[in-house]
Amino acid sequence: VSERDDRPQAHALFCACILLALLFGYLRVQQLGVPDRTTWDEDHFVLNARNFLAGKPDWNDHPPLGKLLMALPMHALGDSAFSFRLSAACAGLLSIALGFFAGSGLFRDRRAGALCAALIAIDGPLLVYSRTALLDGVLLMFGLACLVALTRRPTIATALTAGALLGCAASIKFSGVALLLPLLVFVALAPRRLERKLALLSAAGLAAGAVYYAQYALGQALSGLGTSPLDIARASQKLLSHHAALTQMKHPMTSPWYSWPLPVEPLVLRHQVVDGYRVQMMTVLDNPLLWWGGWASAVAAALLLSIAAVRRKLGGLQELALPLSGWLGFLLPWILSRRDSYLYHYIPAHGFALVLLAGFLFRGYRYRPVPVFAAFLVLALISMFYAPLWAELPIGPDAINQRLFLPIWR
Amino acid sequence: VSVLLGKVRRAVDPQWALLVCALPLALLVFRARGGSLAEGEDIYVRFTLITADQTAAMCAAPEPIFGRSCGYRAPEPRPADAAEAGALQPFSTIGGGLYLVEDLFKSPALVARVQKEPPQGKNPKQLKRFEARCGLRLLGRAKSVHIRFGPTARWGAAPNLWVGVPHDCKVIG
Repeated sequence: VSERDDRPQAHALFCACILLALLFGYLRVQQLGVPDRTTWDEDHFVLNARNFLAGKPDWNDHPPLGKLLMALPMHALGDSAFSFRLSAACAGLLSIALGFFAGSGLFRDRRAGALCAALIAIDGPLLVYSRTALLDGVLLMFGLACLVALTRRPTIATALTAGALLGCAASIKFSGVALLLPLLVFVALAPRRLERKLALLSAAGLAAGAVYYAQYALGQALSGLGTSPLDIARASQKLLSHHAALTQMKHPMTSPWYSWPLPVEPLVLRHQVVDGYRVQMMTVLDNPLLWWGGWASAVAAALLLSIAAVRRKLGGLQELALPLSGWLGFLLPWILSRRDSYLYHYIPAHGFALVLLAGFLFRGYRYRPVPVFAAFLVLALISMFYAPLWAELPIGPDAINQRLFLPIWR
Repeated sequence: VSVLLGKVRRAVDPQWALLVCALPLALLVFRARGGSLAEGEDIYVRFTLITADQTAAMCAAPEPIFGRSCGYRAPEPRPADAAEAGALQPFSTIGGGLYLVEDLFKSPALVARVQKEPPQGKNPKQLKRFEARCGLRLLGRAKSVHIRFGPTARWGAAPNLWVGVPHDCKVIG
């Protein structure tokens, strides 16, 4: 496709992507302070953000960073539902922008970036996690930022940046350590000698460790607890042991990883009847085409890369390796361990699957722009149809049932 | 015509055409979420019930509502069997909606369900929950009533409840 042909094609695509980013960006923040109380698991994080501000210990089972980020607007703007959800909303908006840079960087084209940003914008679970004081959306934001860093040239500065972002992700939830996998892929694919590769890894490791220590020490200091490296190691070890013991899968909302592709247990985070009939609800159930498209893209990328690796000809498929390793990194712990798992644990991996889906769409768009653009618009229309279930817009029971068309989703 | 169509095709980028067509469609699907209710409307509801609700679900209102009465004139602690014969009772739907419904348990499907599992002498917790799928013709809103779900339960104020007449009920479960 020549440059001359690209221009008119790209204008309509960019226009559609910008409109979608604006609309779904607005849906992320509208009525952010409603309800004015904590819902679902928000309690765990909001109460501990308050604890940090009051100089009390954090009793939550994740490292402090997510709650520290929550406490910042609560300190600046006062303690309200709007302020305790603000960090998640900012992370959700930033993820759209990072999607653009990740797509552009990976696939070397701004059209791919626009597609990637739009898919992240119109995705249901990512929208929902922008509207709640929970951690998985923030975790994904750091994951995407790390992916953007890894699209740069393999220098020490890149390794330091990616390492610091990995450290941030692991400081939100331990599962953020999943980003080690794309980092290893980045180093492995870097056209450098072994010593240089080891230097890149060491720089990233140092930056990750420093960030993890710094945020944990800040949390401990605010709580009046010890901040020495030994104190942080002990506190981290305690959290890890706690997580290692959570293997009963007894909570009614738990779901094993192999149930996630359908999904069997879509979580309803909020549900409230308004005007005696209509409901304001917020569900993690996604636009089915985006959800299944994400899974299909990840599986297709894995197959293509495996075949290419066997033939020792990665060629143009190299660009799929980074997002695929991010997807695998966030998914593998739930496959390999017996830790209690919930559908929301898949959300960071889903973000990486959307990057892959954008990559495949872009490949198609380069050769068959009109049908692929039409398919993209269909995806967007389906998300518009589902948006009331993510943004808590009043909706009637019949309209809900049309969207939750599988009986197990109701 | 074919020459003209060819010229139009060359002049209009098909992607812009697709986008322009998609915009009104987007508005349509975004708005397709059911409006608020109106008097006289006939809606489809799924009540979640146990057979003990026949006597446990009670409302209290000093005046008739759309010509129909509640079991009590005022929220008072008298047991349910002392309630006057009233046509209106409050029932919840699966989605969490609450309605004042006229003679729900007199519809044939529910009469049969109560005969199958009579609630008398049984702990309500042991009764099997079932679903009644009904059409509900809405009469309007009751400004202020009190409701309770159990002979000894506390009364609670329930403003602006929709009042409806059920029809074509089917029981599931």
